[in-house]
Amino acid sequence: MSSYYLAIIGTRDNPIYELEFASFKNTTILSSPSTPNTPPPIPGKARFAPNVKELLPFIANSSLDLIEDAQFTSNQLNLGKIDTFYGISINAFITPGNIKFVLCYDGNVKEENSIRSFFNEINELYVKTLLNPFYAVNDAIISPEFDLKVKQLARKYL
Amino acid sequence: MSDKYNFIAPAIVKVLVVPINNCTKANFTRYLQLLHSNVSEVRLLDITPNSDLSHFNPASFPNGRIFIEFTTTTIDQESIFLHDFEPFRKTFIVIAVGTYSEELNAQQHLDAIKTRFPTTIMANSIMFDTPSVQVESLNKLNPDVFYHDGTTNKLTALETIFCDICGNFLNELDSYASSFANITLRSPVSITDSHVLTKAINKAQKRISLGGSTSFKVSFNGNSAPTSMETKSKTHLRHLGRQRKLMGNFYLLSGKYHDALQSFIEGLQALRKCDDYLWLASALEGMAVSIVLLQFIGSQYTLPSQILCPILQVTKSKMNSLSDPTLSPRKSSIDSQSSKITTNLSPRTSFSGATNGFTLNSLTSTPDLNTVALPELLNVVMSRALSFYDLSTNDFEDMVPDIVYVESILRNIRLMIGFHLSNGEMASTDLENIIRGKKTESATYQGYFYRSDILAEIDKIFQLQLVDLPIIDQCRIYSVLASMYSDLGMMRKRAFILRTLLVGLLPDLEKQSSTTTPGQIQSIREIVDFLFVLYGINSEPEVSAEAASFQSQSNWPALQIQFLKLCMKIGENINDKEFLLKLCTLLLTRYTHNLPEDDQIRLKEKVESLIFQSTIDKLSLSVPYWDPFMVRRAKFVNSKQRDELIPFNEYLENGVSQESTDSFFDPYQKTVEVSVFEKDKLLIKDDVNHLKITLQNPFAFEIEINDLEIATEGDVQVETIKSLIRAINPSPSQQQSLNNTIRASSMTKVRGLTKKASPVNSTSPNNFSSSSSQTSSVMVVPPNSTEQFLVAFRALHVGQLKIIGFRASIGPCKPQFFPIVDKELYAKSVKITDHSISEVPNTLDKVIANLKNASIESRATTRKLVLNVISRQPTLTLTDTSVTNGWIMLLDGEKFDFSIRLTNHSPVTINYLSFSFWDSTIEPLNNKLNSAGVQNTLDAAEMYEIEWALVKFKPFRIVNKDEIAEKYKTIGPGDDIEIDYEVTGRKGMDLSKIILDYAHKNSDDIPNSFVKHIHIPLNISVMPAIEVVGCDILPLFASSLQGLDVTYQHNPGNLNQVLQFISGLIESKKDVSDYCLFIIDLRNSWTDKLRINLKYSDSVEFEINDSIVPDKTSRFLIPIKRIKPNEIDFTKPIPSLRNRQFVKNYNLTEEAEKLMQKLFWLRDHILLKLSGSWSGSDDARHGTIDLRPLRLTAKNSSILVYDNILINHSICDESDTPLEKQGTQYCLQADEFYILKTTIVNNSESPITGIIRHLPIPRSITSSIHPTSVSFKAQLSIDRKILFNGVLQNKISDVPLQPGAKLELELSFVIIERGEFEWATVLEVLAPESAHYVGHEPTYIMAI
Repeated sequence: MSSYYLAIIGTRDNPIYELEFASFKNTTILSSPSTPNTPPPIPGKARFAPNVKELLPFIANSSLDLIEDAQFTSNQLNLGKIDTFYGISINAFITPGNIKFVLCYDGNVKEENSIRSFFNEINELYVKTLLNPFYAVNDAIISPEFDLKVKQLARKYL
Repeated sequence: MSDKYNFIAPAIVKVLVVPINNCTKANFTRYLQLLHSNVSEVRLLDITPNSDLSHFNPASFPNGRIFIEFTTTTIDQESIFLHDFEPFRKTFIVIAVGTYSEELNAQQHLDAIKTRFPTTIMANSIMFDTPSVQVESLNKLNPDVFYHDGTTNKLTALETIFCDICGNFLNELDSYASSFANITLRSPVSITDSHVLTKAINKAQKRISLGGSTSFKVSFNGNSAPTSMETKSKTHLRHLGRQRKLMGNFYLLSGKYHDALQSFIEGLQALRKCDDYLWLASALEGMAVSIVLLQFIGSQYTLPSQILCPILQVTKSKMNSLSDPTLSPRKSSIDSQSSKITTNLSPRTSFSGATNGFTLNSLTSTPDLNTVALPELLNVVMSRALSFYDLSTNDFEDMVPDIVYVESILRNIRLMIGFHLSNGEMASTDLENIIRGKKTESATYQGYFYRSDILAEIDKIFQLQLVDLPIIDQCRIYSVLASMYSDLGMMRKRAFILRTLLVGLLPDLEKQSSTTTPGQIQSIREIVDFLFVLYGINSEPEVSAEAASFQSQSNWPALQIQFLKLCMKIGENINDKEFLLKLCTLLLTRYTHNLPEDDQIRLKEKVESLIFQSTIDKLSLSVPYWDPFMVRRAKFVNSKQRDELIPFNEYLENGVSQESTDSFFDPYQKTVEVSVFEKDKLLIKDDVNHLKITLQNPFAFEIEINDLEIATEGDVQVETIKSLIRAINPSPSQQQSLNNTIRASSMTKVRGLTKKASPVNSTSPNNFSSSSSQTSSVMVVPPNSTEQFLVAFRALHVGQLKIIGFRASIGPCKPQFFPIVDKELYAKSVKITDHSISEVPNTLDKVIANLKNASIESRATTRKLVLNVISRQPTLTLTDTSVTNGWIMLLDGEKFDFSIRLTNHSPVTINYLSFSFWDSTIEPLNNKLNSAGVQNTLDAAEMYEIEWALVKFKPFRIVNKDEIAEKYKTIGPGDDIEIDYEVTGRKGMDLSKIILDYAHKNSDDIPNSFVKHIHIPLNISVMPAIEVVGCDILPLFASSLQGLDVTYQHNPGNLNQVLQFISGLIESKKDVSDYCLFIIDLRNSWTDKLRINLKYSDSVEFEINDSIVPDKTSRFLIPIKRIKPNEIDFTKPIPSLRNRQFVKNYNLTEEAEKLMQKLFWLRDHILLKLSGSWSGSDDARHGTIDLRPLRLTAKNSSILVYDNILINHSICDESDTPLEKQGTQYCLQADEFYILKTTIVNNSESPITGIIRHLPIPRSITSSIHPTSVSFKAQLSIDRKILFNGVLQNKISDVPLQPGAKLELELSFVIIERGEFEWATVLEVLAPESAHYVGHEPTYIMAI
């Protein structure tokens, strides 16, 4: 079960949405080898180490450099895996409006396809948010609906 | 200066420079500077050939160069175990520098140095500042000691010296290298702890296998599989290979690159066969360095592809992709360039073609490496080297040390970046840049390698556990990474690395907090400042609206706060209080809204403790208060006294303006701004006044304001009375007004950071009571709320007072100026951020300065409170009045005298006094009038009545006006004034006021003179007395007398008096019909009998004296002379007493309007002549009768006024002698001829024509009481009773009757039937306008 950190970052390096979560899959497989001392993992709850958790915004921020670099080398919105840092991989997606989705995750996730689908669906959600006349670009997304749907997508794909 | 991670570092000779002979620091740095600027490399060409040398004779390769790097730090003992593996790490040469002196024994020093640095292979010394003349002679003395005159004019002098030094070096190196010839070379193992050494890379390896993300984990089983070679030959091969590799390194150092390349290739061959991966990798790396250097010096070389390709695992297909011009556009560009730079690229190809011609054949299995472009080749070589290093970790004995691995990667990255930033032309300048570690200015993307490739290399470093490396190495690695990122233009990555560096430094800073030097702190601060900019912490929401909106919308507070917290930890570890204080200030100022409550409180406590400690340490640190928008509002509190003050100018204007309010609106009239002073902004010098100020506290802790002072601008000073400052009890609404608070930065709504405004229960009993009851100067604003305070102050000068803000000291902070914040400014912000950093400002100092200067002009508008301070004003007070308790009862119309006494209680003389009155009837009347004007409900006459009541009626009158004017020119301080009044009661009056306006009028300075008023209220109740109940006008005929007798017999009234008057008239042969009778009904509503006096003063005066008993109505008759039409002009419009705008009422017909005017003027006429008064039975009360209620009707008016055209009858007998009336009628004989003479007098202004109609009617019918019993005869037509000689209807004349003319018409008739007749005449006027006129008095005829 890997943990994820999703940040949607606006055009001015501002986070407009942040979420930490973990995969709901494979809980049974990974929970068995865990030592009896550690509490059983809660599905969907991120288990980043405290020092890593602290680093996540910084990692996401620093990956923006790479996204900005990569966006001119690819004609895809999904930029794929663009960076790693001490075992944390970073996948990114850039919308046509220069909004970046950054997904940091630990370990061994190789399902690029599911991440791509996840990003695509998030993009749809984001576009819907953007269609809201009361929403301005770069505003933080505080809609609980959005939050819920993102979590549902996370459960579905990751 | 050369770089530790320069790619050609393996070819750089390290030289340690040490001072000798008591060299001063300044001199030492100067010498070092000389060395740096003059010497970086020595060409072998310049070194004296030495054929004794077995390996390093410079003559054999004159193109080679020895690169020199000067260091001043001591030899790194940590890496000593690597010296045999990578000899370039070793410091070979020690150069002692010093100032020349005569008695110096240089050799002695050199010996000392040699024992001091045993690992070096040679020691030389340079004596600077040698007198120029002695230089040459001295230099010949000792080959190890050199002399230099220390000047820069002989540029080559130092180089010459270094040529000699390098000659010495080659000598020593030769013997040093020879010493390795018979030694079995071992892989480097840390002497102290081999386990530590391998741990990091082990973990890294584990990670790699776990993640599997590294690109170089390619299996090459075929090559690495143990061969069937004998172990012995394997050992031999290994020994040989290692020897060759080491020699290669020595050749590199000595500048003999061809030999180096050759040695490395030989080594590679041997090492590959025995699978000695560590040394293999090192040899590959050395080869790459040799290639670069050979390329750099433009020397020709050939790579044996057959040997290298298997090692590099370059297959033919891969080769094609590398060398195919179509696939690699850069290659083609190189090819096109190759004609130009023949020295660079072509030699390899041509050479290989000559020696290894058959390999060029496309059919051969081994591709030709020489066709590959240099960067690609190097990339392939280096990536193989790194993968071999990686493989070596499987072998515990020959495992790669972390530092070697990491540095190798870093060198490779450095090389890649160099190629990346180059122009792609492979010009020698590019290589020089790489070698010298310089940066090219134009960072185009023409170069080799994508950034992503370079980043992938950098990632390899992060797969290692750098934390386990020594801190020095960590710092080096992080800083070189940071500089690499900055070369690549990746500022955020750089920031991230620097942050990691800071985190890494943290524990060591704590350990060494006592030993940190200011320089180190300074550099940390510089890093921090740089990171502030990168993370956007430098935006200034407290002063710039743009920054604020920017921050509210686009920021990463979580990131920023975390970073700031890290900075605080650093500050704590290095024990830098000032730094910490500034950080706290920055956090509180810019991130309050994102900090949880306890964090805010902790920060505040931190600040307090730091300030406290600093006072103990006598550091005198101070912080400004964190919220420059503390003062949200300041309002001047009006006191009652000030309401009375009116500027003199305005006062004078008022009299006029009041009148003009009724006049119609003139849009073109220029309104002159006369009011210089706003009335509520006035205050009197030396008086205590109050300001109501609203202070905000956006923080989660309560703030204490220790001191508050009003800050002013301009000449007028104020004194803040601190003892009178107190809080106003906060109302619940104010408690919740936090939403209006301007935050230093607006709320950010990033999830998880929104701080819910916690319910503020600041009104905890203790706190609340203390703040409100306390009159001491401590003011407390509860958390997250606003609080209002009353600040007492006293103006010290006269003039305009400008309050611009407040100077307050809050909590532990220094006194500071706070402007009065008015409105927050908003700015539309830009969408895209610019990451280019022009300069790195000192963020922390900036925030402090911003707060201290309160420079918030662009963030919020501030306001100034402008007040006018005036000099002291007089005070007049009522001391005595003759009206008891201020209450009087009056009857309607009653007059009453009283007096008041006033005293001037001020030290100022009153020299202006004016009187006015007000009573409670004024306002309803005014309202009625105003509403009437709008709704048009009142006609002009009614309005005139109201206006009369307002304007003409004076309820008060000053009796002793002359006396006052004479006696009181001025009222001095303490003087009295006595005023006598007469008041007249009026219905509806219940409260009235005497208003006295007074002033100390300074004729020189009228604008600064003020009028005060004093109101003396008088409560009056008015009771009704004599009221007019009704009125009427009756015509008066000579014949009326009998009628009157009958009708009014029961009511004596003043009838007798009237009869007397009429009989008097008849006696004096006046026409009775010239008079009419005015009837007025008066009622006594008072409880006592009242005597009345009515007077009509015309040509003849008529007076009535009577008395009316309570609750009775009496009727009085007054004969009034009729009014001739030309006596009064009825066509005049009804005037307006207030100069009201005339509004034509179109609802009225013209006739109705005429009638109204006529009635108005008639009434006016009567009221003018009629007057009435009443008095009580005991003469205690007396007053006037209000006759205004009189109303006339149209009928009344026609009676009162003569017609324009008069028609009179007289009857003559046959002989034309006029007959006399007997009483009121003519007595005629029946069957006799008479002549009726009708006289028509035209009193109108135009000639008239018309028809006259005679209407004789039998009177018996008209006066008959029982019409039913009228006899048949009586019903006969008039024709049967009277015979006419002529017609009854006739045109009066052929010519129009001129104005004033008289016409007499005759009609003869015979009465044939006896009886009474009434002869009426109607004149029908046809021109100028149709009208009917009837004879005023009918003619009565009795026929007998």
